[in-house]
Amino acid sequence: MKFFRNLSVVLAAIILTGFLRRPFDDRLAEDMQERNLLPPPIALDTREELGQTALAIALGGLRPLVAAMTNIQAHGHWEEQDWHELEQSYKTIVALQPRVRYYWDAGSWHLYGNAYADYADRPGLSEGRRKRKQKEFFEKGIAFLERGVEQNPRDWRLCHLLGNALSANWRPQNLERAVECFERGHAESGAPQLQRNHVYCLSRIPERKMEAWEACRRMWTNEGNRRYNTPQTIFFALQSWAGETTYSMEEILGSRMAAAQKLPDYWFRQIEGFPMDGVEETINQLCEEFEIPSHLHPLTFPPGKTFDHDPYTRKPYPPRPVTGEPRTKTWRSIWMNRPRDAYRTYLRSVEAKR
Amino acid sequence: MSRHPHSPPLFSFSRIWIIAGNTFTHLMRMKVFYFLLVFVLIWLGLNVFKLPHTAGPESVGGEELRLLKAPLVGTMKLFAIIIGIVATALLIPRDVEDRTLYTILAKPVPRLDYLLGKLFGVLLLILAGLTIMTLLLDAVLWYRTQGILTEFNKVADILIEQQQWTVEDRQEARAELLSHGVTWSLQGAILVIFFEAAIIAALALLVSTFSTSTLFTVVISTLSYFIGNFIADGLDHWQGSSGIGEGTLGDLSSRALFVAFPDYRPFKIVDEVLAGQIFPPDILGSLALSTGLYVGLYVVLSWFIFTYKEI
Repeated sequence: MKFFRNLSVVLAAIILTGFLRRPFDDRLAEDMQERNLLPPPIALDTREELGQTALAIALGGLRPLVAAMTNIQAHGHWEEQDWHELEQSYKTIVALQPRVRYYWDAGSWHLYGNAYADYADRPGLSEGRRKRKQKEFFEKGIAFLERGVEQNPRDWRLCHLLGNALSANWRPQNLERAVECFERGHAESGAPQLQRNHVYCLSRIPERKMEAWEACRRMWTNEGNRRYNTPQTIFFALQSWAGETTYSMEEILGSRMAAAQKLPDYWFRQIEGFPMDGVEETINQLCEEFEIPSHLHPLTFPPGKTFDHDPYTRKPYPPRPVTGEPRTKTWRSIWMNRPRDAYRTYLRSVEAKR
Repeated sequence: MSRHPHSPPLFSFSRIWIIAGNTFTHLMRMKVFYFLLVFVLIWLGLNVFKLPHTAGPESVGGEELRLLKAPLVGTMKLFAIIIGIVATALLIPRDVEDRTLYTILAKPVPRLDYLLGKLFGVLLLILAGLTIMTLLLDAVLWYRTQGILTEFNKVADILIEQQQWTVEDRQEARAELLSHGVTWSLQGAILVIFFEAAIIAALALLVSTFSTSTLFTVVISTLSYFIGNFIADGLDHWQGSSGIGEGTLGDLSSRALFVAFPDYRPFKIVDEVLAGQIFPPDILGSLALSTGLYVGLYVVLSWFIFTYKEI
């Protein structure tokens, strides 16, 4: 009897102090949540995916361990190119560790990048199904990363990753959204790299050229941005488009010789949608000035022109070893291989002579 | 009224220290530290094998260090929790079984000193174990960080040369990489694991004062640990979905049920520190205070039960 009385006293004391303690605990937990020092609760759907053992481990305060082990599992799915399983694994991982950027980065990259590329050349798929699968996984990857950005609004690097994913020219693009991401990332971090990315992306949207020129001028005020070739060439093209002459070509690109080196590289990027105002004329002038031989002239063909033979030797390209299909190359890829080096060597020899 | 000249003082540090020392030695003889072998095996394994993961050249090392920390700190936490529950649950029944308890209590040793001595003995054991494991963890983490830094510098040089990175980018990435190495935040997180173990051990001590079986103590303490962790994840959801109106008897009962268990929510900071967060010192102070309150409460209640216990 005495035992039960004592036990009741103990229970009452625990509950009473629990009620007194609770506001303190809640305040501390809320403060820590606000400061991103606590992981968010595990969502119900994640509990189902985790299974009993892993859930028990995760609830037991070993979330990083479960996330790290699931990540190793996901690595296996990647090796087996089992994209559906990989997607599930990463969904679980980010539910356990939503503030680890690496997991959002790796998970989305596998989906929008690797799965997309895998379906592009996976044998045994009809063209329609191939395209559908590619679209499906690209969208899944982007949606995954969008969720990461939403859940980590202060992490500007996730904005950067999303902007990069949406503006790569070898995958489907959403330049408008990419511009938003770079702009937001720059506003959050002030990182010059994001300011440059914002300008690059904006300049690729023909309808927003005026906006791009204004952003480009703002970018130009930061001396650090003037060191890089892409901002220089974009500034040059947009200034030509605006019909302004505030900065001379030498001031923008360094020298006439430097311009002869940088502008052809930029000209080949018209495939990506960069503005090309005044570029072609200037390259022609410079080639004339430096007496570039016709076989080394970068503008011999349009960048996207395809060849089934080497334009210099006239030899046909060998067929693709796996599929046996005939191989073609664009002038851009041909130029970037050997002629570009020869062109630059020639320019250096001209410079040495002078 | 003057005190009886021969009644011992209620609280004596030297007595508590002697009992704690004996408990520590006793537990050591039970080969508890064999658990360290498991840790060392994982430690060696992680040192030899690189765990598979995906990482681009820009993220060199960060994930590797996280993958190294997660299993090692996880093992440390398991050690602290298991020892905190099992060792404490064993203490009183074992002392009763081999009659040591009667010998001690026949001497002028207050029961509070006995309980505190036993608890501190267990905590000393956990602290010693965690200290050894922390030293091993720090050593391997430091060693791996140095290797990764060398690799990182090479990659960073290339990225700067290719104008993909600026010097500031490099410094920022380096700082981020180092935040996954040996940091004060990591040491703070391990201290928090010790705090958690102290609460669990104190609770197990309380249960063992009225329980007649070791198994019962272990089960109840383990369950309370999971419920305490579940509060963070499930209480709000459960309250929202149960359809119980606020202020009703049902609501009051459910709240009473949950407040009876320790709230381990703030202790989950360890997860975030492992992910690279910095541990603010003020939070460490709050957690120390919270731990002190829990342990104090459970010790007082254990004393209350144990005082009236017929032995």
